[in-house]
Amino acid sequence: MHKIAVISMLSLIIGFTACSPDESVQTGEAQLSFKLEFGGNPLVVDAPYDYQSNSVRFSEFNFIYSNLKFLRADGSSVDLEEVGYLDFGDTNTEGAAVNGLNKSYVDLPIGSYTGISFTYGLDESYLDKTPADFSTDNVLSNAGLYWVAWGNYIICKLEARFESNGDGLYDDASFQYHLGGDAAFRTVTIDKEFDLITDGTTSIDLVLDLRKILLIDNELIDPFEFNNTHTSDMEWLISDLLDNVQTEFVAE
Amino acid sequence: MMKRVLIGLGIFIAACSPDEVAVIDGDLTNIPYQPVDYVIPQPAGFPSMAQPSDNIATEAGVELGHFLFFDPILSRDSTQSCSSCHLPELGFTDGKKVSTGITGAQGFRSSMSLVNIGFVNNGLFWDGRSPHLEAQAFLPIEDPTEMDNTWAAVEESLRNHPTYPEMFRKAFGINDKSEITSDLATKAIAQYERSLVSANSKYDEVLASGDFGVFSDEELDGYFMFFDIEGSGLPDAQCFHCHSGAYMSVNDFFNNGLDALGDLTNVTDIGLGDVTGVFTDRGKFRATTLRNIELTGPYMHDGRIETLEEVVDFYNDSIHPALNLDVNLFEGVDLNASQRESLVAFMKTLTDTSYLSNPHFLSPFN
Repeated sequence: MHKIAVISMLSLIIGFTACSPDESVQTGEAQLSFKLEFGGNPLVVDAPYDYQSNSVRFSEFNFIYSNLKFLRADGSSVDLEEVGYLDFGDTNTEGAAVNGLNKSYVDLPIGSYTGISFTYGLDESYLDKTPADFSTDNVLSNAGLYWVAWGNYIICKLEARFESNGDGLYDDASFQYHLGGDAAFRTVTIDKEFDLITDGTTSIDLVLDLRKILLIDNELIDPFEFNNTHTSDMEWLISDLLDNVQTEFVAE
Repeated sequence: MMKRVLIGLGIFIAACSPDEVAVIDGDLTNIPYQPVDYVIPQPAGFPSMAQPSDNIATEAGVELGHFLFFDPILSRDSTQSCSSCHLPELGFTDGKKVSTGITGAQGFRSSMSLVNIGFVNNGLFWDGRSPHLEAQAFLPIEDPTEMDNTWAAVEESLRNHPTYPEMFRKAFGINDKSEITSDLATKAIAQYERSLVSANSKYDEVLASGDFGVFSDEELDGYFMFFDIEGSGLPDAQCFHCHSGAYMSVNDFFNNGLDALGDLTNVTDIGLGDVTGVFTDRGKFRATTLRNIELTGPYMHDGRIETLEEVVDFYNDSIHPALNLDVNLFEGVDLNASQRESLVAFMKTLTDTSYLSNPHFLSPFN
């Protein structure tokens, strides 16, 4: 009698185990590599590049993203990350620029996917948030990413210095394009067919060419004319830059 | 018979071996270990302070750190404590261009303020070489220009001290005083430093109430210029790029144009570049908090500027070019005399001396 009870109990346990939803979903891993280019070449921070008739060194590029997800053909999606931050300040060697900034995601449902989507910036749900709403180990607590004058997060910083007189100091012009404001976010959707499998990591490069971002009406923005985006009369430039970002991410 | 020999031998060894006696005397298990979490204040406008998972502040840990911070036992000749270079009445700085160690040797950078230091999350010291407070507290003890001691000597002093073993037991649950280590000592100091939260300045009053009428007209003008508030009709003083948020620092590193560093090949104090090895980080230093800035002169990493007025004059008139000069300073700052006075007046609203009436911020030995 005792033996029968034990066997029955074991059968019950095995039965529950077999039906566990966790066990029924097979999972895989993915790595996203965010990479910067300028004119088709890997962008090395603080390295010189031709820019109109001048030379440019990009000293800072960072951005906040949110709602990162993988898309399926049936319209469903898999969430990867609620809020993330990428700072390309350390991609200051050729090797680092080629490698890009890597993000790994695990326990993702295997299968076929058709694209990647994220919000470049923070969506409306963050409009009333400030650094005081977060812990110091959260990037959104960073005062350097918050614009006190506008009461918004600076969702992207793009800074560069220019050389035109040949003295090598790159102090003839600069720009500080800090993107913020109530409408400073864009939904980026990138078509890309890929599979997540149980054995191995699926790697995808997401490439952004800053030269394409800086084209307005097919002309590179003149840093001598437009130095920063700190005033409301420059909201058009913030909007144009974000529009470019929205369409220029490429998955490889 | 054999039993009696062994017992006799045991008594003989215990009586004659200092090590064996120390082990017997070092037992702390009769002292209760009942840790209680320390609640770190969170003033209006500040983020909540994250703590390392292996060093969550407790009442006993903070108390131990409080004593260690003010105790000269940490220095080789017992003449200097952490507080020797971080005086509460000077915003936890020392009022000197650079600090002086026990031998009279001078360091080469200025003492940094510690009030609200727990909100720093991006490297400590002017050059960011310590990733967190625990690592930071480790260094001054053995620095020949500071306490010039060894951690081995400090550990021995603490283990043989009449009260510290019990305090370590209550803070960290050690069973024996031989378990007192540099790791635990620095953890306690870090806990205490994280507890140094104070935000009772006029600026905090505005942050909490949203009432800008608290400011005088002059202070308000300074605020407008500091944060480049559009519509004020006042020029941008370019301050907020590096000094913002409740902590009044963006916790990052910049070349603010103090020296003509040119192409960066000849830089006297390499700063952040010495830590990262990145060429374009040469000559960059932490943008320090401006809280209590009125009390923490002389200014800059090497204490070269005496007064706040002279600091503003520097940014207005004397920024030097360099390959890595912060781009926000390219256009320079162009304030007239009255505007410069307003900017200083605003910065003085960041002064908070209320903590000086709180024993928690003062020496426990007084």
